[in-house]
Order: sequence, then structure tokens, then C-alpha cells
Amino acid sequence: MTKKEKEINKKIKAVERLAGMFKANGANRIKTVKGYRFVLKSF
Amino acid sequence: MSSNLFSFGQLSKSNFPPKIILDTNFVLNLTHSCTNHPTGRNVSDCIDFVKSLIYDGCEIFIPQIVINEFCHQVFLNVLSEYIHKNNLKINKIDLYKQKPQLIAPGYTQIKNALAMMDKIIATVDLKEEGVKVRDRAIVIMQKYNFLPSDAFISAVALENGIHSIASQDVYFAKNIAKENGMKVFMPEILLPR
Repeated sequence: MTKKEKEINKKIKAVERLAGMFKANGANRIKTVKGYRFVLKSF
Repeated sequence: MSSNLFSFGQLSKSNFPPKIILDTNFVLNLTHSCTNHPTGRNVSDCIDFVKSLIYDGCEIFIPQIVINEFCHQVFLNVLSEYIHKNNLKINKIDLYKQKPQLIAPGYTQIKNALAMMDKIIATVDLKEEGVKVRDRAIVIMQKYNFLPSDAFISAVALENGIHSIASQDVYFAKNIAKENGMKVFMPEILLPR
């Protein structure tokens, strides 16, 4: 594996760890658009 | 539809951004899963998009103002959890003013998230301060009736020569896409028809 590939893998793992790290369990924080659910609408 | 608005799935060789800024709502939707909707597409769509950017060498930037808003939301979540668990009927801000120490659990969550973000973002710092950025933000704020944070995110992008933003805010996206050369990537379902 090249240095560049290792670098990419490190970043991909970071994205996977970051994804869904927080739980949004308040209905008021979820905006639904035709089945697509958003965490919030205030930003 | 503006030719500068693209869905995440429309990322291709012809529109691939060398550099991109992530808007606050993008970062929040990437990091927050919805516990009552485990199959919600928001997280997976954001992951796939960011992975595609990484594989093809795009430099990813997250401005300080986005981090500020992100931290703010994490603290609001912590307060919301406390209100829910204790079955209180109180506004989150009022609760914070009464008991500011309640937001303490949020610090660890923020540190963990930032540690991961640091691995993803470009190593070059954005130029986010100074009169040029401020004045450009004021112009954008007035031009599109943006709130300050959206105007500053746009100004930071333009002043740093970054012409792509990932966002999930329809009003922000369709307006900032009018700026010369600015491309906005967003979920397909939100693209104006």
C-alpha cells in the first residue's frame, strides 16, 4: 500500500467514526422531506 | 434549476471540486444519526459524498464559524437530553442560565468529534479574519438576506478561492450558487425542481 493510499484509508476511517457519532432523539430536531430525515433546520 | 447546484450523487470528473467547504448543517447531519429513524438517509448520503471527495483528493475545509455552530448544537442536545430525562418543562436557554454546568458532557463529545474532523480536513488553515472577509460577508448578507453565519461561511469560501460548498440548506444553496463560479452540492431531494 502506498503512502497516499494509507493516508486515504486513515481519512476514510475517521469519516466512519465521525458519522452518526451523536444521537438526535428529539422529534423537534428532525425535519422530514419525503422520507429524507434531517437533524435540524436552524442552521 | 441553477446549473451550479448539484446533488451529492452528481459528483463527477467535470464538476469535481479541488477544494470544498462543509456547511454547518452538512456537518451536523453527518455526525447525527436519528435514533428513532435508524435507516435515515442523511448520514449515509453525507458519508458517501465525503468518501468520494477523499478518494479523489479534494481538500476539505471546515470554517471556525461552522465549528462554533456545531458546538452550540451539541450543547443544546445535552440540555435537551437533560430536559427529556427529567421530564422538565423549561426552555433550553433558560435551563442553561440556571445551571450552566449541565453542558459539561458536551465537551468530551466535541473533543472526540474534532479529533476525527482534524484527520479529514486540509492541513492548510483558512484565512477567516480581517476586514476583507468581514466586508465581503456584509455585502453577501445584504445581497441575499443571509444570516451572519451563512454570510461569513460564504465570504470565507470566496476569500480563500474555494468555489464549492456542501450544504443542506435550500435557501442558502440556491442563493450562494448565484455567485460567480460557486458550486453547491446538496441532497438530491432538496434540489429545486
